[in-house]
Amino acid sequence: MKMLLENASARVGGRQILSDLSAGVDSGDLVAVIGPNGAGKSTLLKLMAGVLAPVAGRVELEGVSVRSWSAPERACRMAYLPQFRPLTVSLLVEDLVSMGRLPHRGLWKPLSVEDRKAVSSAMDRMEISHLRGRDATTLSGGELQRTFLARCLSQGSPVLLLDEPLTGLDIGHQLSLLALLEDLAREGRTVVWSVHDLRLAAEHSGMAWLMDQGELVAQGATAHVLMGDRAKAAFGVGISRSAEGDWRFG
Amino acid sequence: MLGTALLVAIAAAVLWGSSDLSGFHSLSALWQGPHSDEMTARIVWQVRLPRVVVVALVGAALSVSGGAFQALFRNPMADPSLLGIASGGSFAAVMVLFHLPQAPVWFLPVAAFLGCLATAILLVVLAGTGGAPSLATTLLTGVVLGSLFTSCTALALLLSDEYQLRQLVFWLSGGAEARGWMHVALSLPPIALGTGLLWGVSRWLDALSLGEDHAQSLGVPLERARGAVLVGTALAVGGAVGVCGPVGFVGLIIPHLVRPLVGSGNRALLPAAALSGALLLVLADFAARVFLPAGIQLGVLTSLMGVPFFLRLLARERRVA
Repeated sequence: MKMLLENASARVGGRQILSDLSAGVDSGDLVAVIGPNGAGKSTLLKLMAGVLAPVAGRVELEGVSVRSWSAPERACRMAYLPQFRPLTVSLLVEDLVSMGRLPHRGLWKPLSVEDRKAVSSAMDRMEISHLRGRDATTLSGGELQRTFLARCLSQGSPVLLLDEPLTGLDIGHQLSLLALLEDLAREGRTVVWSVHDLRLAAEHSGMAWLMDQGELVAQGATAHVLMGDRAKAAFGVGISRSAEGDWRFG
Repeated sequence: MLGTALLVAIAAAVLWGSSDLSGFHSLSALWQGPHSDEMTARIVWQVRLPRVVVVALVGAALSVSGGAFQALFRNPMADPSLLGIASGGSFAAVMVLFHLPQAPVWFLPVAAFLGCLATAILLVVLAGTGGAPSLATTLLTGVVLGSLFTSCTALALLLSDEYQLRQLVFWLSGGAEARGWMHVALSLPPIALGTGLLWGVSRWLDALSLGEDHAQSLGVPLERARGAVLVGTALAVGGAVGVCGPVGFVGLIIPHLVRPLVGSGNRALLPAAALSGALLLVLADFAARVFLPAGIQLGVLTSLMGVPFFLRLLARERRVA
């Protein structure tokens, strides 16, 4: 499913955070959003998710402005994982994952067979099926993050916007999540995810958007973006790749 | 099970009271039906039963609103009375008692509802100026609004004469003294409508309790959901305040007591809270009537019960933090 940013700008609390972004993604794309702290990565994802309205320019999903879709229609097309925050209410893991079906079933319909299938397959993919009966407030940070990710997957939306999905995951789960994202892109979904670990971005994401001070300063093949001057300037460290293909920073 | 407990409590509260009737007499009076001329039947049917029903309705309304607010504000301390909603309703009702003593009785709950709604809207508008309202801002704004309306009410008390004063103080301490079927008729529609609305949007409440960005991602129309919760709460609390005055802490306590039993899913939590809230208030009112010196008001009693509970909650929050 196609998403388009056209000269989009955003403000948060009166401050200009994003200025004049233009970019596009389509089915099968796996795009890593990289950039130093405060570059505007989370704000960009909020803007794409329709949580935030652009003050100028357009953000489109399938040719229609993201904010003009009705909330449930938008949610059926696009799942958004906000930046990790601990849970404050006690909910069962399974109930939390089932919430992903809300846009499909609305306020009254019970869980259908299809809903249940989506929920259990999402839990399987995030390896949390054994936690289904646990109170989610008792989970570790990484387990909770996987639960939130399963919630996004159970939504079954063709577009996934994930704000630092690797937060709290151990290396094993990081790698399996990345493999899953690659699979999802191969299945034809559109995945945009933000990440701090440039090495993981380089090894697992075909494309990258480099954010710096609220601007999208470079986009394209991840290796190309990382080797460019803009990346050096943004992060303030040298980035190079050895002949064997190992990345070196600093 | 909760339903059975509630029925038993209602039965007990109807059968025993301050006037010198044995339980057996009351039972036979109940049997004789509402139109019997006998004194006992009149007491049971016209005094006790409506009072118990009003109290049960109020308990249900306050508990459901409390549960809904705790989900909306993602804060275990949220409660329509803590956030000033009930104070706004009380103030409106006091204004009616003060300025329009001749107003028809139905005017009081209507005014209370409008007061609650106005306060709820004011809360959202004030807390929302300058971007999306954070939780802390909302809570603080609610507390400020609450104390504003409380002081306005206090001012009204200062300005009133002896007779008005007694009447206002009596009303403000929250109670179900001398409430009849008319009060049931007055409070039932707004409370049924309000709690029904809140229960209807319970899945939105579940999503909202994860945080607004999660809720939006799940396709919750944020403005509509917030509006529904505020109107539902204003209806329920307004209906309750309109007939019973402010009865504090019920909305705070009950959802916490029920959550360990049925979980945090609001589709199950809200009805369970309604039943337990009704149960608690019927029991408290029963206790106040039978065991305590005459004139102790329900609101005073619930506040006395609520304070230690609130402190315990605070201690737990601190431990978690």
